[in-house]
Amino acid sequence: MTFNTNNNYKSERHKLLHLAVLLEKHLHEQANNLTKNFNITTQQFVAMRMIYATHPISQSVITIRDNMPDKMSDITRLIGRLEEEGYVRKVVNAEDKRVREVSLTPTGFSLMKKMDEPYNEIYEFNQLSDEEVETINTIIKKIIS
Amino acid sequence: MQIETLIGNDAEIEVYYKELQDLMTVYTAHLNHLRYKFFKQFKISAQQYEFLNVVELNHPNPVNMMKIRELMPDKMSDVTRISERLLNEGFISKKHLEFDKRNIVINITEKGQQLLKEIKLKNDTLTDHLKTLNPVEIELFNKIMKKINL
Repeated sequence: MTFNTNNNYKSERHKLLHLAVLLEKHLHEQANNLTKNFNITTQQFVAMRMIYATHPISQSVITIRDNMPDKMSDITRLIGRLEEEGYVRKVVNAEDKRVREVSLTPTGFSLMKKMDEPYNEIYEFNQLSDEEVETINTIIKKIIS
Repeated sequence: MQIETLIGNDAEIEVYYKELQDLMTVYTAHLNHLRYKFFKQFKISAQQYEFLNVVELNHPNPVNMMKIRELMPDKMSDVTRISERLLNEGFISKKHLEFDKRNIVINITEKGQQLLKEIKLKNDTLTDHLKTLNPVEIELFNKIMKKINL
């Protein structure tokens, strides 16, 4: 990615914002390339990663929707699509019939396992020392808290 | 996330990197939402703003579409579609070069410059969420981000 040095920043805060936007684009691009290789969309990947995190315990559709970073996504359609592809299965919650639970099928689980390594590579940032990673974590935590 | 507890975190360093991944995902999603809401009041998208900004940087010289794509933060943006929208709104002007009809150059109009001015006047609301950071932390963040060299 080229860094546009012609930009005059109003303040160091605006510079931070610009760098964070560049980072977002970079991560987005990387994630997009990765999911394209595995024939799923980035949103489908994010949803499946969430179910993968608690596998083999299933999660309700509502929980998944609430935890999606992109709140505007149509979660029911997204899950339906994943079901059609055979990656997830939907079951009715035993205690509350109105609640739909989603879990990964063996196909979905093995896809997530296969994507683990290339996904983590996106965030490796070999240019950073361990201290720098710790510093940046502390700063981002302060921003989002 | 539960996956960390399932795998078990032997090395502490490993945890820092995992944390970085989670934090970056949360922050960038937050930032996206913030920018979406901010630009909505000007009835343009973040990408359209970025496009305008690139053209403005080269003003008064016109820029061709290839150069614009190259300078956009998001290399995958559909610059043709973005330019059509901005053209319809009268924020940019378009010219075909005489010696090569396929080569289109773009320039910003007065209306476009006015819009950018208005946005830049109000864009401190975008950095409001950084108020919790002191100057040293901001500088540190920028230094480390530059090292990633996006």
